[in-house]
Amino acid sequence: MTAAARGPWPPPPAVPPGSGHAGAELLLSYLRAELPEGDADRLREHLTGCPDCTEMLLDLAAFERGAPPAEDGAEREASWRRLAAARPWEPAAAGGDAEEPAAGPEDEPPKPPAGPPPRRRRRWLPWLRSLLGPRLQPATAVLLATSLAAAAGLGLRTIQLERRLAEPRPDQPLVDLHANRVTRGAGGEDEPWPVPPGASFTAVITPDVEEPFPRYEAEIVAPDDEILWTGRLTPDEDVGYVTLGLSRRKLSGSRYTIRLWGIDGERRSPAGTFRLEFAPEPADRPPGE
Amino acid sequence: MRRGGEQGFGGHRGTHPDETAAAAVEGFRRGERREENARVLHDLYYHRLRAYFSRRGRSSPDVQDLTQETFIKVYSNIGRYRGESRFSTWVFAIARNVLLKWSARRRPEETAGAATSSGSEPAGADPDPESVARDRELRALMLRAIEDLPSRQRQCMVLRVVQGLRYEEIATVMGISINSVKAHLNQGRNRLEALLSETARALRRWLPEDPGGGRGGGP
Repeated sequence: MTAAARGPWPPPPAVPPGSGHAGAELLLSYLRAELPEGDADRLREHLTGCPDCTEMLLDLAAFERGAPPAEDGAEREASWRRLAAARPWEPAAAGGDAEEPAAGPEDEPPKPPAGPPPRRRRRWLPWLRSLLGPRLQPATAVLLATSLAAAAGLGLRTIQLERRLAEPRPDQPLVDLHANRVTRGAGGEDEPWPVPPGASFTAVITPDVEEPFPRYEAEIVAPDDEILWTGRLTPDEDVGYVTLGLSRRKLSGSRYTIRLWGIDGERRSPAGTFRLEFAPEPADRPPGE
Repeated sequence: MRRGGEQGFGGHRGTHPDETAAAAVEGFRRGERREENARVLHDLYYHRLRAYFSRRGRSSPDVQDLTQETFIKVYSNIGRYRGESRFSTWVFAIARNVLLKWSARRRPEETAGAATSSGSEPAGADPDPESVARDRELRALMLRAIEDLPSRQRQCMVLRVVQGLRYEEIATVMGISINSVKAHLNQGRNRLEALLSETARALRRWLPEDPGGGRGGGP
């Protein structure tokens, strides 16, 4: 089978050296006879000594064969009818587990509410008046509130930064991190880093584990081994990725390591080391440094 | 490029659904004819998912539920598929996770059931420590002998003896036919017997003869 016939996907990863596990992508390439002879031999040797990978290969083989049983398609049709009734592909149903979509015309997008959005009431003004007295003028109140907000903002800066680390935002660029590989750019080592200095981005981490864990613990480590941040992460979807919101304002250096552990009850197992390397850019450094 | 075995993986040579899936996924993500594309993906993966869950030993109603749950996850998360891997492996990963979570939910009842049934069984006799030790030594001796077999015979023997796979499973792992597996195992067995007999003969040569002829000997 030629690479072109595989479709628009990257080539399979290399056969794992030593005790590393082969991923589903590599095993599928093996099953589909897409690996060069030498790689297939190495993988076969690996499978002989690795029951976990052998088991996954046999699972994948069953999945690949997927031969329809001796039935006339009635079960498949019934399966589709149940799905079609639930319409889980509709945006309203995405992410929800059991909600029935509202009845309506097919493929009609949800309508936004008519008119401008309701103006938010200034709930803080009566509260501030009760605190400082009834003679408080609105202008003074605004000034006081601004000062309070600024002070709170300064005081809570660290908390906000910490929170930003833990909360990825869907509108940020995604950067894929894989274990034991230096990530320098989204499309390859020679491409410029896609996240400009000072911007935020979401790291999508693929844990280097055989079985996914319900939770993970991550550490962001500076080149001098200083731990900059540590926190617990929950895989936010069923495909096993872990996402981490990061900011280049916070990570102003050029090289970082993310260490990941899988957490299952009391068990804490290594789930990969991920190296993040920012391309050196003059704009990263202040003049004269 | 062809895998080295005499027989490639059967059934899907050149007919795998990834190209069809790619078009459906792309249309789905662009929001075009969602239902139609969802149907294409359903029909492409329905039997695959069922085959996978069935292999994991699930009953037919469970297989049906697991398949439905997997499709719901696939459709709900399709916007997050980044095209880094083939769509098939992405769906397979979701199916594995669905099964893991499902098994974790079921585990307490299964454990309780297992405890009840094992509690009613009569206590079996403990294996004789001496025989356990002898078995372990024999197994170690055999594994050392297997290491000396030619590559294919050794791999088939390890998959059979150590991993306990069936013939058809070994054929899948090795990428060869079941008849080839049987042939390799047969040749391996013969060769092992020869190797071990040679070892036994060597042992007899090296071990000193008991001059008294065993127990009871003496002046």
